[in-house]
Amino acid sequence: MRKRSFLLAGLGLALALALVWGFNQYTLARTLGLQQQNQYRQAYSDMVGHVDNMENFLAKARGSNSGNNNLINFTGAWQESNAALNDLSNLPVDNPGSSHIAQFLNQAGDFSYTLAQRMAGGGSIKPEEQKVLANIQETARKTGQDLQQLMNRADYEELGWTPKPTGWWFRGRAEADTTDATNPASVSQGLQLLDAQLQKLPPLEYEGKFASKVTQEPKGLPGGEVSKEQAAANLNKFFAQAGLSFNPQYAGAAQGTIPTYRFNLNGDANTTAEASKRGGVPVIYHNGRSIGERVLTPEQAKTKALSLLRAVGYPSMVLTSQEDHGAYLDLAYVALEDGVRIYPDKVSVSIAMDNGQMLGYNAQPYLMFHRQRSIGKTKLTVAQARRYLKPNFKVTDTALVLLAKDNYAEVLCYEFRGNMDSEQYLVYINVSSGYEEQIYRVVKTPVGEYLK
Amino acid sequence: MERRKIFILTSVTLALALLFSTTLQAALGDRVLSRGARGSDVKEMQVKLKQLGYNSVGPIDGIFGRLTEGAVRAFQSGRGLRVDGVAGPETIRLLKRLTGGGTNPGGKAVSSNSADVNLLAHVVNGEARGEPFEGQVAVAAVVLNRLKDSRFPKTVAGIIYQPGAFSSVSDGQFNLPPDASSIKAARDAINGSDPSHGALYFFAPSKTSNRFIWSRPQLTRIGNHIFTL
Repeated sequence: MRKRSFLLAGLGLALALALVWGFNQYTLARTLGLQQQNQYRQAYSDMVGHVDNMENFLAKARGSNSGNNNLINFTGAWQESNAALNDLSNLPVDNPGSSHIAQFLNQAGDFSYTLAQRMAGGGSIKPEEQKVLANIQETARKTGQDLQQLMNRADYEELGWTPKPTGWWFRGRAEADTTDATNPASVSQGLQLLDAQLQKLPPLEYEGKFASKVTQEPKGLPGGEVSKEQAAANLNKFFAQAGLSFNPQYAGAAQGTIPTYRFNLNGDANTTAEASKRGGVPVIYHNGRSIGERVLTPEQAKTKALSLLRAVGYPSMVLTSQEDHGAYLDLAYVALEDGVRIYPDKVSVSIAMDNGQMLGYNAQPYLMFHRQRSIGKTKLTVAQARRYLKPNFKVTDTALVLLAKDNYAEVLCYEFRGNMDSEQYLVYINVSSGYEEQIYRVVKTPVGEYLK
Repeated sequence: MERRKIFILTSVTLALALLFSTTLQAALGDRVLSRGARGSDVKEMQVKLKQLGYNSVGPIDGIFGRLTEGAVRAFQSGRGLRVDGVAGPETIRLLKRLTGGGTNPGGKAVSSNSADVNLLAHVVNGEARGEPFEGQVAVAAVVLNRLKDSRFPKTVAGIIYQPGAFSSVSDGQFNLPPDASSIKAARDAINGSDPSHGALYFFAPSKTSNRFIWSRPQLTRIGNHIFTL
């Protein structure tokens, strides 16, 4: 009898504890849920505000005939688009990257940035760009309205962020997926519907890095598709030229910008190589072997790398960056043609510091961009180009380079490495216009230089 | 009586002095560190080892024990040093060099791209630990390809933390300290290597039934991951 009442009391206590614990968990989950909702709501509200501001700047840019004002309008639109994008990236998505809202914001910002640069240089807006501008502003206006409406619905009709979970253990009715753009079941569904609307719009045509029409085709590959056996034979030849020997085993094909055959070398999944389908050119190689004690100096490794590049068919290359990781050196080379550094045509090589063997190789950029180019003449001499630098900029190095811009256009420039106060820079001056195409700040780390 | 007091006092002082002589060392590099060493310099070394992905170092406790020795050995063998498990001047110099930050020519500290490398290494570690190295570079490359695509956020952090974008971020795997291979893969991708061939997504076919991801054009398969546009 007494035993039983003890047992009952124990069970009662356990139940009470479980209830307290459960209630605590419930409160905690509620608080966290609320916090998350608030974060989403803040991001969404901010985004609506930024899209509005962007639209307003674009509308003003359409009306203004002043370069000064339009510099501010376009810079403003560009910044607002970035801020809106940042907010959008804080919202939950089902399939990241399917967002045409993001695409529109990116392109609007990109377009504004291009025009802001033009305004700063004293240029004007072309008639066809006026049309694109009108087009973007109208889409921004419409999108802003739709976003605003969705927010209102979220407020007054208490739409959740994601569709309500269904099932008897959740309170509330199941809500069917809807394709009715005016009546989404949740904010995330509303965004998806808005996305679908934007997807139907024709692509924007303008010059910029996010313009729809920028597509890339490899330019540096010889014609004609080869078999995987031929590709393996080419790899063997390549390795022999580099003083290496492997037994490539076919491991599949890859599509994409440079379609390739993939090989495992010596049966090791960490030692792999790829050769292009077109022409059977070696594209990527990585050796995952362990590296012994370092015996080479960086200078010896660089000499070795240059002779390796020569042996595998890159006779004229110049070193542009190096990273010393102890057991290996990562080196980047670009083509040197008639004294011009062709920056897009880059080949990276990794050299083992125990025996100088090639540990890694990547010719993707070179094969993407290399071609017979007609590199223009220089209108300005070095001395003339220097006048476009700041007067107290102390030049330490000068080179003639072909520089790739954001939209893959290539410009011939003088590269001036030099110091201002206590900072080092790389400044690129267009050889015909004297326009400063690019400036990098050089940061030294104990591993190597870094441009930012 | 008085004598005894003095004796006790001196022995206590001596014991304390002995204790502090091993724990209160100056900066890392002032002495050779080996098994049994203790002090702030050991702790500093452990932090640097962890920073470079030698996670076998164990707890950061300032005690050079078995785990720390293992990590020192792993560091030495991975970085072209003589492998003896003792952190001598060469080991410590390299450790400092590889973890050093950026400076301008004036000698002032300037941030380099280490924050992005760190985030990328975390994603690689969370998503592709144990995958072939090329597959790890490909995962980091996917993040960088998204950076260049207009449908994605425009910062590395924005892409990685986009809610729902990476399962390893949602389930916390992302927060584990990255290993040396993940860090190297992140660096290789930043330097322009892209074994994903321009992919924007990747998934493990055995674990995914998501229709969207299966509908994307597949570019390449490395290890257990399919990379898609």
